[in-house]
Parts: sequence; structure tokens; C-alpha cells
Amino acid sequence: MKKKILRSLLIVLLAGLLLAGCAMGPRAESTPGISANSDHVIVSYMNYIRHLNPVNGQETWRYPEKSNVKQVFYAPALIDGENIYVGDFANDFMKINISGIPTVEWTFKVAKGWYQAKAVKDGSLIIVPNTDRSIYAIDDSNTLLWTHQGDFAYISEPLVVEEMVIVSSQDHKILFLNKADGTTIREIPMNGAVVAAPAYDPKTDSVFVGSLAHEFVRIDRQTGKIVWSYDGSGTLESIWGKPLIVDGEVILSDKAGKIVSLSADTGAENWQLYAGGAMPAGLALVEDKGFVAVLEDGTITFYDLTQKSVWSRVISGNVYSTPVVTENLILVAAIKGDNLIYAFDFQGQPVWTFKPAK
Amino acid sequence: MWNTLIIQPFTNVLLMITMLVKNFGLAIILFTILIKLITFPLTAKQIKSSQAIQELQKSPRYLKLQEKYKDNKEKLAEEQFKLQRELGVSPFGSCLPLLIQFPIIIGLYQSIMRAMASTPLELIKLERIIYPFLDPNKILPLQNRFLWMDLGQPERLTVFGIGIPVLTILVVLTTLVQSRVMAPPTEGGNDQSAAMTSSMNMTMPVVMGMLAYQFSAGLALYLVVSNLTTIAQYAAMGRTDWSRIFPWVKSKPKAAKPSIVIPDLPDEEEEEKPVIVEKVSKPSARASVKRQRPKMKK
Repeated sequence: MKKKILRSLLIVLLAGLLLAGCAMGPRAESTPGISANSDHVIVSYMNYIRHLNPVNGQETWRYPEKSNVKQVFYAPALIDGENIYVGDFANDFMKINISGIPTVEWTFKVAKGWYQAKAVKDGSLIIVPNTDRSIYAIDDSNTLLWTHQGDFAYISEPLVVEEMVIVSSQDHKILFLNKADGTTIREIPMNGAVVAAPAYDPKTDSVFVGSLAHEFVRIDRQTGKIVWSYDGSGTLESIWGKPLIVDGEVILSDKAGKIVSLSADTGAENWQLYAGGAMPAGLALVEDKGFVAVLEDGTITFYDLTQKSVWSRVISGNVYSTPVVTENLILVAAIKGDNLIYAFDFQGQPVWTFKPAK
Repeated sequence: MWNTLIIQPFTNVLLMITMLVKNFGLAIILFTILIKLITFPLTAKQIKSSQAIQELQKSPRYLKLQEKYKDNKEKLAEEQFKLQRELGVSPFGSCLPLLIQFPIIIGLYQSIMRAMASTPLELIKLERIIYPFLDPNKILPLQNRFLWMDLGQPERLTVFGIGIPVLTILVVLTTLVQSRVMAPPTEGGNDQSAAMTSSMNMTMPVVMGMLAYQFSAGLALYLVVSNLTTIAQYAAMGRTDWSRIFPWVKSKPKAAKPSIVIPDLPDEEEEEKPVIVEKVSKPSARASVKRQRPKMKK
């Protein structure tokens, strides 16, 4: 009798474990991906893409309707009119029509890795990096145009400038690819892995980017030459965020919380300040007003363009992703806090918060 | 505390090995073997203790006690305890080394997972725990391509367009062999524990296979190497009865020295005398061995 009970219990346990095994999704720790404009706030986090009303932060829909544990979203969606383009950790990249009930227009299923970075769109060309060491170029009807194969996972947003696709590579280099066929135009060696997205300044026709090896460079887009390099006399820490470019000035931040303004032309230091703590997230520009810096501990500070602190707020949770700025909102995503998304106006007044329903 | 004492040193050792061999997959293999070798004395102690308990449970004295006190469980437990003390065998002898190994095994697994950082957040966290004397710029990112695998993704070997989970199959097979190697022989044991062992032998490979199928190839690689090292350790100690795994193999395990020498059951009359029982309950297993040793003729 006892034997039977024991066997039955073990069978139940086995069945439970099998079901749990089948229900397992990808195991990765990441941060929410936000993208927003005046009409949409799209949050990619865990098993859903959520659409929030920018006015009050209410959830208007979520995709998929019923969660699938294998489908995990962390990459920020690319918003293009009434469509979004977003990839997941089940190796799928989708075009979703969001004019009404979200409808998947097509799914690109070629990649073998996760989508962690936001895609870019140039006309009908969509460039999307993947952790399977590939950059994919597809057109708006889901036809694969080309693939660029590298040596390491691509995890940052590419940049498209005229005929070039510029991508940060963890393999200690910046890649300049031909937009037409994905072939390498040039590779610019860096001292460390590059995980921050590059920024482009049309005035100097240059690309600005920092690496984990305590360096920040200006690369001439036409020649590929490093025009200048900045290391803050050895005081610069690793760079994780995309720099800001404002009127001939480039503003960068490092992991330790140092914010530096350099002349885009010469690399000469204009000013520097200490934000007050660890700052893995990048800076966010508020057009003509200043920029926002968020510390890992949730301290948000708004600086004007003369480096003067205008206001500061503290939110609950840890922040690792760069804030997103719309016409009238600053959106900050936090993990391990009371809320997932915090929205402030440009004067620092809280507008709304969003916490996903359980 | 856990991070500082276990995860951080383990991860840094793993990264140092990666720097030396310039291959993360190979580093996982070497690191797993290294940790298994370091914990081998504990494993050996655990194996010996568990074997001693098995021998005790199969001994005529033990079986007679079970028969004699089958209707008095309290008395049976008391007598079994006395016998264990007399022979210096403790049921906890095999548990304690296992308990000490447990955090090490968990730390090993967690450090491998930590080193396989695949998102920016995981990379930030990895960069933070790298010791200052190791230059993160030289270490990061880790090349997680190994043979046909991407160690950060679930492993599949594509043959004619079909993704075959080779590592998952290896995990299932090695777990099956390992559980067979480690499981005590069932003859002489009680039915309940035999049923439990048999069910566990069936369950564990399936569960481990599911983990390997779903999680990253790095974890599956660690599971395969860990299982193979454990099997090798058992084989090195001569505890493996290959005929239990491969029925066509006739060999029995090496006639290893018995872990304990169990003296014959005293006569019924003698056993009834409490004084004598008290006398034999004191000496250790070593003393029992000495008492049993026949005198050598010159």
C-alpha cells in the first residue's frame, strides 16, 4: 500500500516537473525596454508588450493577450506610425499593427538568438541586431535582404547614416557596413568591448562612441579615422550609454556617474560633473532645455545645458535603462521598485506611474 | 555574503581559466573538473559512509534485529542505534559531506550562469564582480562559441535541417549512468527504499534532460562534465558495478575492503544479559576490526 502511495507521489512529482520543464522560458535578467511618442508608450517587459496611454499611464492593450512563458520581451519596440517592430527572446521579430487590436502582420523567424536591441528603420529597410552574432536587414514585407555575420552577440541599437549602417560590436570594434548588402566597409578597433550605441553628429559628419575600456572617441565617418580620443586623464570609467550631441558639444556619461561635456570638434573638455553615484543608464536629451541623468539607485536629476541641476527626484527601484523623452514626458523604467514606469513632466512633477497587474 | 564568499571567487577563477585557455567552453569543463577534484575528499567520505550503512543494513545482525523487533518499532530503533554506535557508523556520515558540497555545487552552477552574461544588465553585474587585478577589458566579452554550440543559447546540432539536442541526450545518458552508479544495490534493502531509488533513477535523468533542453548550452555542458567526473570518481574508488549499467558486462566492482566489520550476533542468552551488551557498545569500528582479525601463525 505504502509502496503504491509512494509511486503515485513520485509520478505526480515527475508530471509536475515535466510540466514545469515545458513551461520554462528563457532565463535572462534584463531591464524594461521603453519607446514612446506623443501617441504611444510601448513597454517591453517580461512576457508582454504593453501599450500605455501617454496621458494617464493606463494600459490600453497588451500583446500577447495570454502570456506565453517562452516569449519574453526586453528590446524596445520601434514605433513607425501605426506599426511597431519588436523582437523577443523566442528568436522572433515581428511587425505588429497597433491601429486597433494589436495584429501581427508578419514574423521574421530566421534568427537563432535573442533580440535585445531596438531595430532601426530607413525607408523600407529594417536593420535589426541579434545575439546570434548577426545583423539582419529585412524589408517591410519580411524579405531577408542581407545578413552580416560577426563574432559576438549584437546588443545595441545600430545607426543608419546615408549608405552606411554603423554598429557597436562587443568584439572591441565599431563596424561600418554597406547598407545595400551588409558587407564591411571598415572596422574601427577599440580597446574594449563596445556595448553603448553610437551617436552621429551631422555637423562634423562624425560618429561618437565609448567603450568598456575607459575611452571615448570621435570617428570621422568618411575616412574611418579616430579624430580624437578622450579618457579624462585616466579617470574615465566604462561607458554603457549613448552620448548626447547638442550644438557642437558632445555629452557623455560613465558607469561611475561622471558626466563630461566635450567639444565635438576638438575633444577639449568643456566641463564635467559628478552625478552622485553609479549610473549605468545613459543620458536623455530634453530638446532645448537640458538633459536627464538617472542613477542606479533611482535618483533622477534634470540638468540644464550649463550643467546646473534644475530638479531632482528619487524613485523606488533600480534604473539601468536610459530614460525616454517625449514631447512632454520623461519616462523612467525601474526594476525591483514599487512601479515599473515613472512619468514626470519637464518641471519634475510626477504625472503618472505604471505597475503591471499581476 | 554568498556573493562575496562563493559566487565572486568562483566566477573570477572561471574567468582566469578562460583567460588562460582562451575558450569559455573549455574553461567550463576545466573549472567543473577542478571543483570536483577539490571536493573529492568529501565525496569519498560520503561514498564510504554510505557504503558502511548499506553493509550494515545487509548484515545478518541487522536483519535479525528487524525480524526480532518487527512489532516494536521503538525498541527496534533503539537497538539499531546501539548497533550503529557499536560499529561507529552514523547515518549522518554520508549527509554531512553532501551538505558541505551543496553550496559549492550551487556556487559552481551560479558562477557559470553569471559568467555567461548575455544581456547588458547581466554584463554590468558581471563587470562589477571581477577582481581589480583581472582587467575586465581583456576578459569581456566572453567568446561563448564552443564547437557547434553557442553557450548562451539552448544547444541544437542542425543535421539536414533538424536541430538535434546532442547535449540534452548526453545529459540524460550520463545522469542515468550516474544515478545507477551511485544508487545502492537493492538486494537486502527494504522494498520502500528500493522503490524510491528506482523512481529517482527514472525521474532525475528526465528532469536534468528538461533543464538541459531549455537552458543555455553552458549549463548543459557543465551537467555533462559534472556527471562524467562523478562517474569517474566512483570508478576510481572501485565502487562501480558496470554490470548494473551495461547488463552484457560481467564484471563486478573490485572487491573493496569492507567499510566496517560486523561481528556475529551474540547468542540469544548472551544478548539478553544487559552487562555484555553494555560492554560491546563502547568500542569503535576500528576496535571491532581488531577484535575480528585472526591471529597470524608464525
